Amino acid sequence: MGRESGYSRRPVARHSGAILGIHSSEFVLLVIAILVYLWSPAVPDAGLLQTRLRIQASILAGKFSFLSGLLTTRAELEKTRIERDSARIDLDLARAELRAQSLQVLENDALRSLFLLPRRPGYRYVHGEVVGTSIGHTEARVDVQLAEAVPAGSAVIAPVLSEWTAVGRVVRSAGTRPAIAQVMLLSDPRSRVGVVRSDTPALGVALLVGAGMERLMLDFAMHPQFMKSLSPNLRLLTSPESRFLPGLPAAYMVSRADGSAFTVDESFSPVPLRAYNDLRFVVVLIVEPAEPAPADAQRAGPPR
Amino acid sequence: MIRYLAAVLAATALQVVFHLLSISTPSGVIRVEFSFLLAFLCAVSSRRAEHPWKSGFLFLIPALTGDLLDQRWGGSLAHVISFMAVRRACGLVDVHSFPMSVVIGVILVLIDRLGFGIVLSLKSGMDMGVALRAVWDPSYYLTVALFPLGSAVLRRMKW
Repeated sequence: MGRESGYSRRPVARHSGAILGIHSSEFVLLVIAILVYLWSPAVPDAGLLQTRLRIQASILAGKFSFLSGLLTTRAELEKTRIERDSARIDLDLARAELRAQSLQVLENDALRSLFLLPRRPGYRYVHGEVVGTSIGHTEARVDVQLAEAVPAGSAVIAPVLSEWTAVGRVVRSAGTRPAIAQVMLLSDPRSRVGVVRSDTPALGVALLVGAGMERLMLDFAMHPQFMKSLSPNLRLLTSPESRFLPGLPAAYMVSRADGSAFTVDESFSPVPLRAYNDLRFVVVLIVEPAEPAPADAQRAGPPR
Repeated sequence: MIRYLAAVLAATALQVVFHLLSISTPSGVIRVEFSFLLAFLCAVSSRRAEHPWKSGFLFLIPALTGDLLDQRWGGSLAHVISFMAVRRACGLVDVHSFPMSVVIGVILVLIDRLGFGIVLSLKSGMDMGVALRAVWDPSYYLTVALFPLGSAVLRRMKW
């Protein structure tokens, strides 16, 4: 096929016989492509390379506004797509986790019935809005508007995105839809909540006592070592014996470096994880009564 | 030789530019697959017989560059396969005439994307549905629309 055949109607038909065989250049191309495919060199910063190229391109395209607009749109679309993909992955993971957890609940129930134990209670959440606060030296309470009435004694949680923290307990609830519940905060002088140390739960329970305003105190530690080896930023979690879900963070320790401490025990004091004055929304945790396991009814026997 | 190297560099630069001008959509990336277009043009070029080595590497190097940017190393292999397929078609039909170049292009997309999907699924251990989904890549059909234009330019340049 010569250069002059560019104008011919069928420029390559004359060489149709020769074309059917593989030319050595085609063979080499094929081998190179196969080798590269088998090797698949992973460039660790290929994304970085693309980003750099895009930055260079956007600098160049700064002079051409339409190109710049196109690049910006492209980058935004790409970003949206990546976000959507990652959100979808997160959703799938959450669904899988939920499925695994519901299987674990079933397994838990089966094991409990095997050991003749009652079933685990179920939990329900009611969201509420803080409509009034009364935080003083003699009491620390907030009024919460809820969508429904909740039983007294229910745990109240501050829903922070990173973690949920215990803030108080419902003491009174009035009305229905909407209901107003009075919440006794942990710093109320009448509040006592059992807590354990997050680093060493084996040291046992101490009592987190409210001291008015936003102050807390630690008292009645079961183990003497509980108070002796406190460290700053140590978290106190609600103990399994408290009315809260066990393991909810309730306070953390701060060092009183201002010299106001007289003894070793007072060199650290607990501080609420959330400022109670800034509470806007809370979640009330309602323990639903557990159905008695079949084994319980069998064990109880006929009423005497 | 220097002109040829300059042409390869220019083609690679164009490949990068077209790669940067891509737009991601839910149904796939929309862009001009320049290395695919180049593979077709190199295959139908009248100078192919004179410079078989040069015309082959003229599209392979931009194709490898595109694969490097995409981090998917099956595209070049698929382009080489489609390049060889067009070489065979050249002896059978007039690849420069308008409707035939588009028909050849669509067949080429099927060959290229099926090949790419098969090697991708072989490499990644996914099912062959990948190959079927790869066939619906919109950017390749967009590129096929440029085949008659590229072919006309080639003939005008007597290349």
